[in-house]
Order: sequence, then C-alpha cells, then structure tokens
Amino acid sequence: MAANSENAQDNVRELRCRVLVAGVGGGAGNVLGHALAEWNEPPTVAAVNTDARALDATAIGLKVPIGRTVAKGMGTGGDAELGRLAANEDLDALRALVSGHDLLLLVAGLGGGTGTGAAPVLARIAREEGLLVLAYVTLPFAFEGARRQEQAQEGLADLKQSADAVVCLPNQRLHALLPSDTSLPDAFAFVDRMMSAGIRGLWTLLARDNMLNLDFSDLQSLVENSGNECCFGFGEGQGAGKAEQALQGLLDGPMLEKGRVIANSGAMILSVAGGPDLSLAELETIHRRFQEAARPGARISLGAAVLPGWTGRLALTVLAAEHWIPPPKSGALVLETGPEAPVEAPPGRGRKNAQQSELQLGGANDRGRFRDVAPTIVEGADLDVPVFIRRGIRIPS
Amino acid sequence: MSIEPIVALEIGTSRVRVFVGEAREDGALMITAVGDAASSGMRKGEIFHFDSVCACVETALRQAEEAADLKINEVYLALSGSQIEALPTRAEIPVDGEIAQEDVDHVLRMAKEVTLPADREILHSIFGQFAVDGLPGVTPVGLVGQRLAAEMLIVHGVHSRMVNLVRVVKALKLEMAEPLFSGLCSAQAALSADQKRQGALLIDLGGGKTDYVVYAQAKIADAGVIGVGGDHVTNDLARAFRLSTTEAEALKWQHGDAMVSAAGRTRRLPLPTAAGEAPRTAKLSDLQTIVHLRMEETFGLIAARLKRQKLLSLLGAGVVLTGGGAHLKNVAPLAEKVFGLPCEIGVPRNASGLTANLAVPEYATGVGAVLHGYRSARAAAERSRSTWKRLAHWFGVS
Repeated sequence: MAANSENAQDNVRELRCRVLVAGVGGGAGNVLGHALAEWNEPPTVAAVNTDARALDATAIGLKVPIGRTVAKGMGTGGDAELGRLAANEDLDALRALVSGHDLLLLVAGLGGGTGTGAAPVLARIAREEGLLVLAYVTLPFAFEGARRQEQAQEGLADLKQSADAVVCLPNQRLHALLPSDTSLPDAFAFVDRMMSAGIRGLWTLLARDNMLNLDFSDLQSLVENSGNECCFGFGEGQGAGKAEQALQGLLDGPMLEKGRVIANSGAMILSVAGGPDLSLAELETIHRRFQEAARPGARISLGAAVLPGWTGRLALTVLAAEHWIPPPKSGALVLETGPEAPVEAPPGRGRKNAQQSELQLGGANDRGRFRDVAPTIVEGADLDVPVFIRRGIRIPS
Repeated sequence: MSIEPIVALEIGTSRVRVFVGEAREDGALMITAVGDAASSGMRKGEIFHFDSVCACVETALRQAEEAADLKINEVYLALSGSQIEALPTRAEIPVDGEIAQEDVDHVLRMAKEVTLPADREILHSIFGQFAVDGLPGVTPVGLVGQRLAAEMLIVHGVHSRMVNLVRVVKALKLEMAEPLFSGLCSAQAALSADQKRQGALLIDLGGGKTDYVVYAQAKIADAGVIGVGGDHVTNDLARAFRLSTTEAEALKWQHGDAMVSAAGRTRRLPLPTAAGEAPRTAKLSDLQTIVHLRMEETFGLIAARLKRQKLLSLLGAGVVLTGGGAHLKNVAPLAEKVFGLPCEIGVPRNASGLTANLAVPEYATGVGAVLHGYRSARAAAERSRSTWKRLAHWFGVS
C-alpha cells in the first residue's frame, strides 16, 4: 500500500491540470467503477448519489451523499425533480468537492432521477467555481421506454446550459456495435466500458507527461467553442495492424456514424494510447486518415501516451466538435498599459472581440462566475468577459 | 423630539451589512452597532440564490441586534444593480402673478410624471431646482412671474430585480421603511456640503457593481450603476491564471494593483497550487495589467457618460471613491488619470460618534442609509415643512 501511495504522489506531481472525475447517479457509478478497475493511476474520482446503499457498494473511495433529507438515503425512483432537489440540498458539499480543480469530467446516465436531475446542478456549481466542465452522458436504450427518453432529453438540454460541453453517447448507437444476441447485462457493461475508455483516454493525455502531450488549452479551446456539444468515439486494435484496426472500428463504426461526424467536425482531439512499441508511422497514419476524413481546414490535435503493459495494443479516442465555431483572430491590437511598452496581441492567439463574444455561445466560459447571470452588455461589449480577453492581450505574456 | 433607532440594511455582493444609528442628545447621529456578514447568493448586486441571501442577511441582523441590544423591526434598504439609471426631467407651467405653494406643488407633480418602459419603476424622484421666467436656482413662493419651471432627476431601475431585494426584507418579517439607491447613500455619507456645491463625482466600488452619483451646479445631475465590480477583477485573475475564485480573490488583495509598475516586469509571484503540483509563478506586471485594464475600463465607461452630458468639466471637487474597491492599491491615481481630476478615498463623515474602525470607505453606503433614515424621521417629526422643502432638504444641497 505504501508503495502505491508513493506512486500516486509521483503522478500527482506530474499533473499539469487538476482533473476531477465525478459520477452522478447509479449509472455513472457503474461506469466509473469499471474505469477504476482498469486504471493504474487514477485521478480524483468521486461518486455523487442519493442512494446510500449504492454509495456503500461502489469501489470509488470519495463518496458524496446528497439529498439526505429529500431522498432519505434512497434512490430517487427515477424522479429527476427529486434528483435536482437532492443536489440543491447539498450545494456546499458539491462546491467543496469541485474547488481546487481545473477540469471536471462529469459522468451521468441520463434518463434516471439522480443523474438527470443532479448532474446539471453539479455542472453549474463547478462552472461557478471556475472549472471547465465536460459532461459525458449516456442516453437510454429505446427499450427503456418513452418516459426515460423524454426525461433524458430534458436533462440533456439542462446540462448543455450548465456545462461547457456535453459528450453524448446514445446507447442506441452503441447497440449497433453489439451482436444481436447480446444479453442485457452485457449490453450495459459494454456501454460502461466505452464510456470509461473515453474518459480514461482524455485524462491520460491531460494528466501525464506523454510522448505527445495534449495541452489543457487545446481541450479548452475545443470545448468552449464546441457549441456545447461534442461527440466521442473509441476504437481499439491489437497486433501488427493495430492502428488500422482501431481506425477502421472508429471511422466505419456506428459511434461516429461511419465517419459522418468526423466529416462534419471543425475541430477534434485524437488521443492515442499504446505500448512501448507505438511507432511514429502509426501516429502519422492515424493523423493522415483523420485529416482525409475531416473537412478541409479542420483543427486536429493529437496526443499520444505510452503505457506500460500495452505492447501490441492500441486504443484510439476521439473527441469531435460538430458545431465548432473557430475563435476569430483579432487584428493586431495595440494598447497602452501604464508605463509599459505597448502590448501587441500575438497573431493567431487573439481571442474573441467584444461583438463576437456577445454573439457566440461558445464564449460562455470566458464569463466565468458570471455565466449564469444576465450579462452586462454596454455598447455591444459583454463586460463580464475579462478585458484582456476582449482586447486580445495574451496573459501570461 | 425623540426618534427611534434607525436601521439600514445593505445587501451587497460580497458583504451584507446592518447599521444601527441613534440620535444623541445634541441631535447628531451616532452609529451604535454594525452587523457585517459575508454574502452569498448575490451576483452583480442582484439576487442569484434567494435562500442564501436571506441566511446571510439574518446573520448580519442578529449581529447588529446583539451589539445594539435591540429588536430590529424596520429597515431602510440600500439597493443597487437592477440597471439603475437616472433621467433628468423638466416641467413648466404658466403662472399668473405671485407664485403660490399650490403652483409649486403642481409643477413638481408634473416633473415627477414620466413614462418609463413597463419593466421599470421609479426609485427616487430627486428635486433639482426651480426657475422662474428662465432664472434658475430661485425659491419661487412669493415671487412674481409668468412661467414656473421645475427640474428633477428620476432614478429608476428594473422592477423585478428591485422587488427581489425587497422580498428578502419581507421574508425576514421586517418592515420596509424605504428602498434607497446605494450610490446616493454613499454620497450622503462621504461627500461634504462643500464638495456637493463645487461639483463632485462619487464612485462606489462594490463587489458586484459600481455605483456613481454626480453633483454638478449644486444639484444631483446624474446617477447610475455599472454592472461591473471587484468580482470582475477576481474573475479576470481566476481566468488568466487558472485559479479558483477564492485563490484569485486572495491574490488580488495581496498583490493587486491598478497601475502597472516597471518593477512588476521582473518580479514573479508564486501562484497557489494543489498538493504535489509543480510550482507555478506569474509575472507581477501581468497581474497588474489585468487589474489595470478592468478598472480603467470601468472608470472609462463612467467618464464617457459624463463627457456626453458635458458634466465632466463641472466637477470642481473632483472624484471621491468609496466601497471596498477603494482599498485596491493605486486605484485613486488611476481614477485621476482617467478623469483628469483630483481623486480621494471617501469615508463616512456626516455622522458623529464614529470610532476609527468605522471610518472606512466600505461603510459609506450603510452609514449614508442611516443618515437618510435619520433625516427623514426628523423631517417627518417636523411636519411644518412644506412639500418641496422636504424633498429638497435631502439629496439636494440646500
């Protein structure tokens, strides 16, 4: 145990971005339980639930019970309103949970009570605390009934309002990946595995010193300009043709609608995980194939991690923004700032100008703690957005 | 004449404060108790989470009740946000010969009648001045003329947002004495009669918003709110350096500076990090630039409004800064630069019995609200005053 915690310390030291993974509700607990089992060096993972028994049962160490008064330690019986009330009862606990982190990967199964009702509340609290919030959600299978579907759609709309971006995994789409005789528990387990792979793929790239690192700002740029919605795909391969295999699974598979999602996306992040045998040629192939599949001018960021024990194995995770709006380049702004020399905006790194930030939903994160209140618009400028961002001044300089 | 203790409640974005004032034997006002609690559930001077706000107000009320040994039943509420702005109005009536009190009442009623957008409500109708046959600044009753004019300033805000603040008072089972624009309260406490006569701009730098009030040509010429406050500085820093709100707030008060210094370009500051995270630093000049840009913009917006109304050249006494933001390093030199006028930090001055620790800029609003309450109560006790005098004695300069 001692060696383990030392190991964990080392990993924490490597973190450049403080990631919190939180699962809200029972479905999410299953996904993260699955992820933890395969995770060598897990980030902070928390389970948020109304159901005390489910919390007791989960392998996740950090447990945040909510709604002890309204839900009395039971589930919500599929009532999203109860889930929302439960979260509102424990706002302080949720705030304490998220504070001190940069990124929240929020996991929720939409359709049920706690996931649907409480997840938007947690997302809102996290954004108030200045975190970038990326929500990974599943939508119910068609056979789970119309009520769950409807409730899930309402929850999704709420979550899109309160999170920076939502990565939505319709279970129905995954259904197509499974043989028709798959049993119900196997189908759910498969969904859990897909989700956990997607979350792990992203976290690995952000949190470790990798062969090819993904910067937090790459993710931030993708998420903030995604129009509140991202799409996620996962493919893996083994043996000699592992890159081809993973690519084929992804680009021809149903998760990205046989490549249609990639063809439509303005920006995407590719995360490659492999063993020590991961070659540059494989990375080049992956990058080229995505470049060909994507629309001209799409922004493709690629990160790669080499994991011990992964020899002969390759996993490819994609986060793509179909509704991506490129952050406009500001002209060379020159500004006197006190006795300092004029600061010039570096070309290409300029941020939205005032007018655009008013028009763009994607600029919401720039408003930080003010994003949920009415904006202060004066002469077309959203004053809640930091002045340095509106004027395209790069900080840190 | 005995006046009950006056209680003012200020629900701010960062603090909730309660001030209790009592009349001394010599008639001067003395602040006898202060309740001061952290605020939550407020954004930009407006309510964001009703229950949190109520809980904070309750804490501050209990503090003040205990300190004053008094049960608080009624409060003057200093409010802001709500897109409060001011509209100057003017009415003129023909008169025949000697001007009577009825003529004065009539013209004042007319000047107060304005048509505002449906979602807005009048918060104050402040008397400016009378003019008889084009001669301004006169006391009309008894004069002979043909035309009597009155000028007023109508301070109004978005009804629903002001009502939400009033609802907090109701929820706590308190009586509402009067809602007051917090900027006017600050001006009452921090500006001297001389400053008002010479013309002055008062800016109250709050946590969630910035109030301003302009005295020019011996009357209140403009007032308003800009929905930008100290929280915006904090948010800018949090965004730039990837800090939590709490960390950014601490950094702002420790190293925040409204001016960029040459030394700042070489000095690096340690940034807070999570346990085990690699140490991070930031250039002091980056931090100074962020604060400078934000404050410069806020002052610049007020300066532009005043310039459009040609008021900037009428401010003989310069700029007075109140509110918690007045503690920000170099904020007065920056205001001098933006407005091209002398600038000072204002503290409550128009109430006696203040101990040294009450003479701070962030107490201007609360003390000003008590002052207003005290003077209204006194005026109510002296019913002999005529209508316009009662309007004029306060907010005006006479």
